[in-house]
Amino acid sequence: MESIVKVRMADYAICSVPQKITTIGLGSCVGIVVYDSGSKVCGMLHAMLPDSKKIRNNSNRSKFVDSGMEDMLQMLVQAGANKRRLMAKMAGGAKMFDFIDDNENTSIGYQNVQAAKQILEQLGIPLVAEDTGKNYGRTIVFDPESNDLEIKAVGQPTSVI
Amino acid sequence: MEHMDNTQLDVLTEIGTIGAGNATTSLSVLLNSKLSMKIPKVSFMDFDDFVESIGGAENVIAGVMSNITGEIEGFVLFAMDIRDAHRLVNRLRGIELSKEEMFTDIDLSAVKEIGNILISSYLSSIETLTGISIRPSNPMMSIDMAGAILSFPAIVNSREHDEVLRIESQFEGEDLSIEGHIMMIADTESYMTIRTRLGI
Repeated sequence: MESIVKVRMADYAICSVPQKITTIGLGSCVGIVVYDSGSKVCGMLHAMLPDSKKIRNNSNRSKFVDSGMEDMLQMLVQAGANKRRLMAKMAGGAKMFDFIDDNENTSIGYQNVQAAKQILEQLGIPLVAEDTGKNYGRTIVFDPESNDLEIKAVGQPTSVI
Repeated sequence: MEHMDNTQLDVLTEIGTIGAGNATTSLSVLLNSKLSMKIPKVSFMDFDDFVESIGGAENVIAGVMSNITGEIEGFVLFAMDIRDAHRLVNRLRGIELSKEEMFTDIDLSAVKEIGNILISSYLSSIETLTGISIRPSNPMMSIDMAGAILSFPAIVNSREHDEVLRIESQFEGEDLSIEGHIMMIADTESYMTIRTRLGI
């Protein structure tokens, strides 16, 4: 039986073989997948903002890269993932519209990606592959069996990283 | 986010009716075709419901959006399903409506300009009604998954809130099969400003 776990915006979920996990329409949000290829358990976070410490209203922890990652890791370990085997892939962080941010390096998408990289480095989780930035939305599907992250975008061929 | 009582929500519905009513009339004149507007919906939505709200997060739409600043802060978005955008462009070009060829640059700027006209008339009628000065940015356009487009105002809103308050108006053609959405997404403070100005 194959089933797909859907991760909502500002949320995370975990899944294990034979399930797959997906999140739809990532724009400036970032989709971070953390997986353990040994126990074949993985988690996916769909975060909207980089840093919970810079925001007053931070009760929804999964909205942020930092607190969302923290919670997801805890759940992954509980589900049987080995912390030392964890690896990561990510996609998203696009710059969808131009009017608020002056250049690519200050866009919220870019900040989300940078925050994710920083957190992964702090946690010692290698970032194996990424497809981030640019100016279009992405739907992603991760298969913990093959560790493939499939990326679909409008008007572009599906890619796998 | 602070919830509102029915009178307060009625005020926002009225704002949507007047804004979208004028916008729909402008488009109707431009297309020389009758359009009818549905009663606007005012709702609080969590982020995921919000990004799913134009035919699903993966539905491809043409979206034209302006960032508004001044006494009201937020976004106004004009969005159409991609098939409707094709019909709209085909109508303007006078070719068969059902054709779905690749958009040319001229088609894209036509869609953007229509969005611009709709957004401007939406906002100017709200300005006239309330006396609030609203400064819209140049409109930006994107053809992409609805989720990716809607996530942009959602993210800006998410700095302060865990819900989106939106006024959503829909119109549809009477003799031309097109549907469109005009949406205002602003923060609670902005909606409070509107109410105060109206004395409610």
